Amino acid sequence: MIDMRVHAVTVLFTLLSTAVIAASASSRDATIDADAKRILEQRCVRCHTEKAPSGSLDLATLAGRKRGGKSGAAIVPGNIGDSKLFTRLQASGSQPSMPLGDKALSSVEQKVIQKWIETGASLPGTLKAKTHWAWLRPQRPRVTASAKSGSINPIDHFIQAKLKEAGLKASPLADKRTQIRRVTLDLIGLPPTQAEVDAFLNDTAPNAYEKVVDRLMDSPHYGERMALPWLDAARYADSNGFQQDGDTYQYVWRDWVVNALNANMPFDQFAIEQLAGDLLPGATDAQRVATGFNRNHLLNGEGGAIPEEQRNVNLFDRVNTTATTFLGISLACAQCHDHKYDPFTQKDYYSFMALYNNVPETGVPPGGGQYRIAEPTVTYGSAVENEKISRLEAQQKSLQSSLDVSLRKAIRTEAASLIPALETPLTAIKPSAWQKSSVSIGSSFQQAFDRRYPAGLTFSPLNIDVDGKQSVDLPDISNKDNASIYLMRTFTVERAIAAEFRFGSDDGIRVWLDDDQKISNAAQRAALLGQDSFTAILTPGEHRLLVQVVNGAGIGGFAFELRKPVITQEQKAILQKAAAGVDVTDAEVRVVQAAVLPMLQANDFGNLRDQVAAIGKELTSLRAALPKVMVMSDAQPRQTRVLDRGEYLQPLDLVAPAVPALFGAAPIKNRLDFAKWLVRTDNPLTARVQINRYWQLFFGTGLSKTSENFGTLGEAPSHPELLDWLATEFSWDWDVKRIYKLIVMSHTYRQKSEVLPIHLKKDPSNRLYSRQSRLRVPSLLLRDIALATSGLMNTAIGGKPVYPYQPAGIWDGLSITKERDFSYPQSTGSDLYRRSIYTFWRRTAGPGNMFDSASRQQCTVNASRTSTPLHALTMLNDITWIEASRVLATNALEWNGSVETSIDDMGLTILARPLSSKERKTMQQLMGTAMKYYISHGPDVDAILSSGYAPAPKRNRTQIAALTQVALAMLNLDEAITRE
Amino acid sequence: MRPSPVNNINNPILPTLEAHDSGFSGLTRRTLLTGTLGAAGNLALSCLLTDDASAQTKKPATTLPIKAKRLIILWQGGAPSHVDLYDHKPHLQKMRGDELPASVRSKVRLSTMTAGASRHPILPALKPFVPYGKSGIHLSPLLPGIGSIADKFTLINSMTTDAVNHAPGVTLFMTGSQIPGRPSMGSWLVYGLGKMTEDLPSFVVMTSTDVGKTCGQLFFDYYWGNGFLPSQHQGTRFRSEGEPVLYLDNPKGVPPELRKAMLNGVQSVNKAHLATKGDPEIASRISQYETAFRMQSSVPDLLAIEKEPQHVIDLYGKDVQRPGSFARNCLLARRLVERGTRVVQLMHSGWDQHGNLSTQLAEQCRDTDQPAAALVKDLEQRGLLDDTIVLWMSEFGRTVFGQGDINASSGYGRDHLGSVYSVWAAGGGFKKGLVYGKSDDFAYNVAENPVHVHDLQATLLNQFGIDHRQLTYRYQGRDFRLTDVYGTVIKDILS
Repeated sequence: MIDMRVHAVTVLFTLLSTAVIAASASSRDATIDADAKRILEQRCVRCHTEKAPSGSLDLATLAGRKRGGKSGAAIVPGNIGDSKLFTRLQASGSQPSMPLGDKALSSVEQKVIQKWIETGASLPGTLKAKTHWAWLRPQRPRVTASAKSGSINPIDHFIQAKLKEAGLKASPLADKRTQIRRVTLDLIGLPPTQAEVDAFLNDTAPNAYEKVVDRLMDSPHYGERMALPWLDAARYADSNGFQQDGDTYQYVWRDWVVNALNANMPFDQFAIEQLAGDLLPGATDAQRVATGFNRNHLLNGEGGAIPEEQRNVNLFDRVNTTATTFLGISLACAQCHDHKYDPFTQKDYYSFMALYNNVPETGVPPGGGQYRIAEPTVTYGSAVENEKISRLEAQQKSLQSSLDVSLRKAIRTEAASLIPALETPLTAIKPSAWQKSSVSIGSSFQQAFDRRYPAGLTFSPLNIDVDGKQSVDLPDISNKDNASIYLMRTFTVERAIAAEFRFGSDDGIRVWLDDDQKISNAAQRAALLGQDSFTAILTPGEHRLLVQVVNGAGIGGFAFELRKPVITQEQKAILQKAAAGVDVTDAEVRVVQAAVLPMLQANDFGNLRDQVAAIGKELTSLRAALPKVMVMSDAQPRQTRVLDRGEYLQPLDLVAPAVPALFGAAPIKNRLDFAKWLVRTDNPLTARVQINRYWQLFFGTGLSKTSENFGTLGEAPSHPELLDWLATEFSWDWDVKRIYKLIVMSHTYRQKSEVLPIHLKKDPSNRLYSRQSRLRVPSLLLRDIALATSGLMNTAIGGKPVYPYQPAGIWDGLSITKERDFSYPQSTGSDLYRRSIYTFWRRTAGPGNMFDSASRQQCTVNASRTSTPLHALTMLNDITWIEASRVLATNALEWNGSVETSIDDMGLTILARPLSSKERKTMQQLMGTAMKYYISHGPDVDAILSSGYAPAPKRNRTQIAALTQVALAMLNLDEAITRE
Repeated sequence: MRPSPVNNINNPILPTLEAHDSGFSGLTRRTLLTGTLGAAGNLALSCLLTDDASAQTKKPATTLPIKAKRLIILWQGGAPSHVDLYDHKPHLQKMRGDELPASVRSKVRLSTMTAGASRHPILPALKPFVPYGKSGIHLSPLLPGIGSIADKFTLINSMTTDAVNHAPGVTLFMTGSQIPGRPSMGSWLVYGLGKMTEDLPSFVVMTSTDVGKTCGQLFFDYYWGNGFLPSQHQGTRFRSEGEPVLYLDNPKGVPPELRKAMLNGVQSVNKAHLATKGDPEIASRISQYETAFRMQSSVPDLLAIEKEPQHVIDLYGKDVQRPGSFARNCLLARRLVERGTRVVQLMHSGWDQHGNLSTQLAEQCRDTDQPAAALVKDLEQRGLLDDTIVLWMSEFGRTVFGQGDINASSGYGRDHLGSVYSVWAAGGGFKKGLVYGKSDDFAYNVAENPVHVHDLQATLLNQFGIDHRQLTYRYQGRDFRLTDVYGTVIKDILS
């Protein structure tokens, strides 16, 4: 038994009426009764009490409800017209509406009262005015001495008490094989290996199971498994969604989550860093990355998207996601109006939103390219990437110092001729008019850009004034995809002159001066003068400038300007000093280097200069390729106003940041204050909401089924004392692994999952936990199981998303967009076999074989678990399962030699138990049928064995093809896809 | 419990596992369906149990007279120009090039593409309209097919939406909200009404693009997503290339008879497992695999259009022979509803004609006009039109003013317009030969009888016998519905 801490605070164990909770059954009348009870208790009984009933009407007791008040009968079952309880909900004449001085009942609540009266108004017992349970701080219930001493897990104490009341008993412990498969699937999302199962079976120590739990919690795969529900809540994906659906680098945030879970970061820190890591004093880059939590939302980069509208959409998403994930409340309802059921006002909503309204963002991601990243961001390289960059920086530095020596010499010799060239005015250059070539179309942007200059190109006048303009459309290439045009002009120069050539282009540009390439930039952008430039000294005579502009899509444009290089007085003074024969210092070289280097004629440093430039270029591209994680920042304070009906164009009153008024006047100024408030031990919701979701992870359903809503319309917990006990246990130190361990060590978790007739009768939905629940494994993990059992799995942790098998056409087949290439870049080699968590998640079309998963479009904390024929087809026919089956079959036969033992072995691998004799016979029959077929169908053997990229076996091919059918059958067994 | 009319279950054409499986006899599909397993034995019940595990459900309400059982949405993605096709404004012909009065434009939000434009030259319909049918409805001569069914549909010329950009506009019509993530209309209908077949998905989506692929509207899976409804209610996308349904085909090297033997093995082990574990979910699993197996035959059978007689092929036109064409999808839509699929959502793109209206409109009409009309006629001939709604619909319309130089031979077009546009609905109790609602003189704002997206949704549900205010699903503490908190049934367009 693990160390149980005894808290200093012990509070009265308040036994709530369990009968009431049990009544939240499925029958409709019971629901109406429960709803009516809730409404009466929350809205009526405070005044219409037993002791001093307003208007002599006592709604608290059954007798009082039958008696009525001084104005007559309050409740006439079956007759709403005569029931004052109902009719007085509306104002009539001089009579104000009930509840007096309070807001009216919502139409839904009124309907509940109406239906309740119509259906008999049965509600035995006494009602108590009460505040909704979830708004009150959890009280730590007392547990028995045996639970306190650790001789019984406190979880079992609560569960078994309730079972006893229902006349049920907990099921016996599941057998050891079931236990290890269950806990392994739950904690690391992979099946146990045969060796792990055997070790556990052979370990007779009393703490054998605990040792397994500890081993699993130390596994790096623990974080991968436990991250999955968090990624669903945080609507994590690898692209923005909407029409352009640009890729993002949010996988760095995903890795942050996995690492934090593996390191068992306490939940309070986990919450604070994700909500406000950027505001922590001396925030590290990792802490800023954590705030990606609130930047994982959709981003609309569609052509006509209105930024401010989209920015508000994003703000709403942050509010709703934070409220659901951390507080388990549906604040979204208060976006347009005061919440109808819960005590949240519209002002609460916008006060909450004020926390997120200071991000320096426009609301839409910029256009262009595969990645579309909206600021603010943190550039966050991996260890490998950072190491490569520092190595190049060191190399660049050493080359630069050699270059300095040569430069100093060149400056000394050339300064004398440079100075006059710098002073020569631009009038010394006589440019010709611009000429243009015909347009050629490439098969892709890059292909159009890279294409060699075509021989024999002819030119005609451009007739468009591009000189000195910021940006000019080029009709020849506008609205043509991947269109390339050459522009050309000559310059006649009277005397040597230094000149700077400046360009703007939409999109890519290449420039040659006298056949010497000066610029090559495959950018995709709108044109703006000055985007690219170079400086040169033009000698007397004629020079030819050739420019290629390549348009990717939409408008194509260009701009040009010739100007004198900007040279400062300081630089000029240094050159004059050098021209006078005085040695220049290293520091002075640095000052003039950038300005004069392109103009120097000397060539003895050309090689060095090129190397430095090449490294510089590589560094630039490496730095450009570094992940830019979208994160939070408060760098742009804005005023926040209530928006009428949630319309961004209808602002009303100013609001200041605040937590919902229900929670009292916690003084908060920003997200950091808010995050700290969230994890205060007196916060009534945070710990309960997390505990409930942890429970859901291990039992399929939360203690409150509505893990997304703890408000008054949510389901009251089945075991309120247990929820509160666990919540207070958790908020003690926010140690997640300790709580998980407490749960998986409990008898309640370890018991059998067999459904007995008495269970169906007394506990059909298993809300009393008379047995462990059987859970269909989530599809992301079903794929992992197939990969792991076959031995194909690549167990690398973290990094860029990968692209495993996916049928053609899921991405590019949606429709056609020419704005980017949406063909699926399927991975090769071991990247095909990474765990599902690393599969690239395109928000507009999730992975084809990960059925029944959260869409990652909105926060999801309660994913559905359904069963459709399409799921079966996926596991029967997807190449992932076929390849895994044949590799499993190959390995099994290789190890075991005979088909019979191979079948047994595969059973052990997949089910973690020996096959029954009947199952063995069934599988052997299937083997026989398959053998009979494949012996006479060689090409089908080849087809089966060449599915996927794993190497095909060379020996026993017919047997392996047949055994593949058996493996596939086993992977599709109900037991194989179920956590028993 | 939800109604679960399973009328096609004993289709003798389709192979089943049980007939060939001695080991499966103890627990046939029929015993599952007829409930000899006690509480666990009913397929619909097991679905309900699954639903119940994920969220609270409310009883759907088919409280109104049922006029329609099936819905076919002919989605015209990219937004066709109502000015050029449906909204008859002959007086504009004389105003070509005149500035659209600022008073007309004042209230309408435009996309950022033309929101800052300085000129708004009026561009009348490219081709003057002609009258069609007995009702004499004026439509573009580019729509002779749709014109030929003018007496069969209600044309709404006062459709209006909140969105000015594609994805939010499509999402609004499909799900009732501009933000992705809510259940789509098809999911709501299937959730609320249950299945009419076990052999095919109840909600099917097919996509097509204009031949020239001139403008790329992506079709996202949340246009047919289940949102927070259980995911069995999401639309199943039929594809035109590769497998028609993802993972439908047996792997290479696995013939049907071997697959059958394998599944019989799986079912036999699962059956024994059910006996040991006693969990009704295992019965549901057994039926899941049975249905999957039958779907492997029923889908190819559905797609075998070569079995259609020549006159039907001719009705839909030559393009029907091209997989992935709008014409082919229209024919498949009929074959689907005929077999019990409830909602078919055809999504066709190519109407986003900002710069190529003048060059591409005719081509786009040619691809879509004849098949859309053929579908309505074909359904009518088979007596299916009475309880099948065919809806020709898009996310919004286009501006009366031109975008780009309206005299350029290279092409010009129109920008998005959400304030008013045109759609039509045939069958399923919609009035015939009716033009409903009016736009202003410039086809720019609603002048009479506005029909908001939520109103149309409410009206569609109404025809299925559903009060749109009552088909709700409680999620995150709120009872959500397709029409959000809006929507009025437009009674005047219903017969």
